[in-house]
Amino acid sequence: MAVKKILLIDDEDDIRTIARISLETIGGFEVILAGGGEEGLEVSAREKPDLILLDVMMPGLDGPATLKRLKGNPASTDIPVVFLTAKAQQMELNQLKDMGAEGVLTKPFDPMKLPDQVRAFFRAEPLPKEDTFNGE
Amino acid sequence: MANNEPGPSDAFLPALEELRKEYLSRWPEKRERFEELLRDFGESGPDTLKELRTEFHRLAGSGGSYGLPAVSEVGSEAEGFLDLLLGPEGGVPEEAGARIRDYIQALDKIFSDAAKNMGA
Repeated sequence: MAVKKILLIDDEDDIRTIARISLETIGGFEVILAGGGEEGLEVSAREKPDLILLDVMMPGLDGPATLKRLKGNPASTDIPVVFLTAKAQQMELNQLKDMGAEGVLTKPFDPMKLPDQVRAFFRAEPLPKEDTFNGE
Repeated sequence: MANNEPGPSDAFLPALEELRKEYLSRWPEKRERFEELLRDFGESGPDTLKELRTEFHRLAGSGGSYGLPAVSEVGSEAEGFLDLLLGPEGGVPEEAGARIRDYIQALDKIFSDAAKNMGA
């Protein structure tokens, strides 16, 4: 089975570092990093990740604005995006989901559990189509 | 049958310890950034308050992941205080600088105690 590629977009070094090592070491994912929204869009277009973890509060292009650009681009519109936020008020969580995100994970996260939490967001892959039997 | 093979989590634990030490060692640099922002706090405008909020926000988001939930708690409380100062009914009361310093001192103690416990 192909290794899933995750793009983590977060302006905070400490978060990128621990999330990358957790997702790679425990989760067996391939992780690529971007330090902001604009860079994230470039990396996404180039690397075509299977899932994007996206910080909400970032200088420049913030998380919601980055999500809007990703969803507005046919090349990235189907990539599931999961927000990472340090603010966990229910109202905000609902707003973030309404923007088109697959889900929301709150910071601080437990690095031992993060890979399983991320794995749960992968969309079920379609089953391979069975060969049609024509009878003859 | 019990499986004694080390799993991915076992491989992660030593790495996590190293990451924690590095995280602790970066606190003086972060503290210096707070000092810079507080130096002219009395005359500072909303940009400084926003920068302070960003710095606390980062600590709120990262501390718990590095095994320091108290850092996240203090960071979050300080961020909330700065949200109030930056809000529509905000303003910067005289004691605001002292309160922010209190948050930084609390963080100082948490990082210092954690470093002692880890031998960092």
